[in-house]
Amino acid sequence: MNVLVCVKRIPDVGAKILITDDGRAVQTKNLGFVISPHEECAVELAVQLTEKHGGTSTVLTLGVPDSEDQLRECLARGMTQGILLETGGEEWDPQQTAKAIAETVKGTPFDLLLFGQESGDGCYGQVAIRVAQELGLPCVSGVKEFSLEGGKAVAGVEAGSGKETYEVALPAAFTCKDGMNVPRHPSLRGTMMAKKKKIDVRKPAAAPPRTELVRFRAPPEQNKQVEMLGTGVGAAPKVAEVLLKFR
Amino acid sequence: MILFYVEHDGGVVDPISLQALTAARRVGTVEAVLVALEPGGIPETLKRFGVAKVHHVRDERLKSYSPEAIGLCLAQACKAANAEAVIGPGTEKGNEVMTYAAAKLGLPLANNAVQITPGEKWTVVRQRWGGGLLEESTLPAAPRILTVAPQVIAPEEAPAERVELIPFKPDLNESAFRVRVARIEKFDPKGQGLKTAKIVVGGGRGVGGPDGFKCLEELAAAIGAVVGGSRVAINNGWRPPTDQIGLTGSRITPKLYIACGISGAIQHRAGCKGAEKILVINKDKDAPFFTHADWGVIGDLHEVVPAVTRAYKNLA
Repeated sequence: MNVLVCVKRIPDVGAKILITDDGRAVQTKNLGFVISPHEECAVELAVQLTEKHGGTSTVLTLGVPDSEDQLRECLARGMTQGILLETGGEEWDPQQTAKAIAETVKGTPFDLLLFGQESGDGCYGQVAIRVAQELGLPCVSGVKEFSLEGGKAVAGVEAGSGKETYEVALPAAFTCKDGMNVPRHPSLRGTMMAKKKKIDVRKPAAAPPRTELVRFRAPPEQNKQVEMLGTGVGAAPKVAEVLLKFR
Repeated sequence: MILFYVEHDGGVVDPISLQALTAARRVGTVEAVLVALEPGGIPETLKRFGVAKVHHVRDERLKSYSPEAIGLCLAQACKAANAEAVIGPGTEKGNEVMTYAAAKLGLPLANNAVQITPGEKWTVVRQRWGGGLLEESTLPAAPRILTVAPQVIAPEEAPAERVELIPFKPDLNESAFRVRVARIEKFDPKGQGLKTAKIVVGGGRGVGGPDGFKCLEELAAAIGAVVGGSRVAINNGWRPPTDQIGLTGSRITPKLYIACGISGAIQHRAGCKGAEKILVINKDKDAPFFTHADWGVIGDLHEVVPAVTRAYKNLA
């Protein structure tokens, strides 16, 4: 079983996103970086599958040279190899990203291509489907349950009113959804081993972008005027009065 | 002319489709693409919302959801009608189908738009970070492919005089059905508590552990609420994954959300911005959640919440 997982380095923003002065990027000066929650679940699934069935698990990212940190973290969690598609720092749109990924993995016999349902920052949710279309593979989106049964993948997706089950032949692509498993933390040994692994660094050329960013802006403030009900247990009677309105 | 992709279930148009349709109508004349075996009352609803032409795809193979095949229908309908744009609802399935349509046409997709301004170049404002940041960008020449973010535009009726159902026969080969729903198990309505609850009590890092949730459960039992948790609570194993409220968990829409020991990171707020009122209990007076709350209490939830439960029982 050879599994590919695609992840994206995103800033670990807190309560407010600050924008750079030119309005074209998110201010990341004092922020750490992580991979999106959905992708953590994809990494966990890949590690579990290769532990059970053998084979390789490859983690791939497209981004700035520092994205190596996120690849190494995935290696520390048990993935076997890493590929970095290095860019100059500008954001690649879903079409550009998908094309570069598809060209990189074309011809490599992966049984499974795993993605997160959408990145935490751009929230496009398109790269998996576009990569699968480029490679002529089926893609199941928003997977919460996954198993292999007789050479087929059985995937469970939570839809509005019920759980949908899809059955697809491999190779195939899947987008994983947060909550499908509990991602493990990297072990100390894993972290040490990950440091020694060689990352396969490539520099793809960007296809011409089709959309043009004008600027980012903060969403309008909702102008909520908070009414403070007090401090500590002394606030309880007032809170209870508020709750009564919702009875 | 703009083509609009309608989502529906059991013969009823999905409410989010009506929001997106209202947004599409503000951009230009809208014709709908309806994938359904039996149109039922759907064309009449569309008529009320200003649609005079419905391109009806009736294909037995589309009885169960097949996103690639529906995307192909939309791509072919777009070409056949020479549409200026294809717009759909920004639901999970809507975005999935529209991504296939865009990929088939080799075009970008601007998903989760909150504002669409037509012109020589169309300008679109779309949500990033679950709505925590807006991105303004321009789209290339026609056709433009977009979805409209849920819960930003109120549906507005604008009745058309009549509605015409025009059969549309897409050319769908078997490979478009590689991904299709094999079976559906209906959820137990009881397990759907978070999404439909009138009141939700949420716990985060400040709860401190699974035992800390006991006082939240007691409050919830007293006031008829459902308990959920932030991603921190789920990742630490304090609550099951199905209880997660947030960008990557459940998006809740209760009348009241009581957030206990949750700082208010944008990923969490993306999941509860549909709440009508928010009450925040946090011992950190600088917790960012207070600036997005209707009511606030500064205090340790382990003391405040049991006191609130007692006070409520005395009053009720």
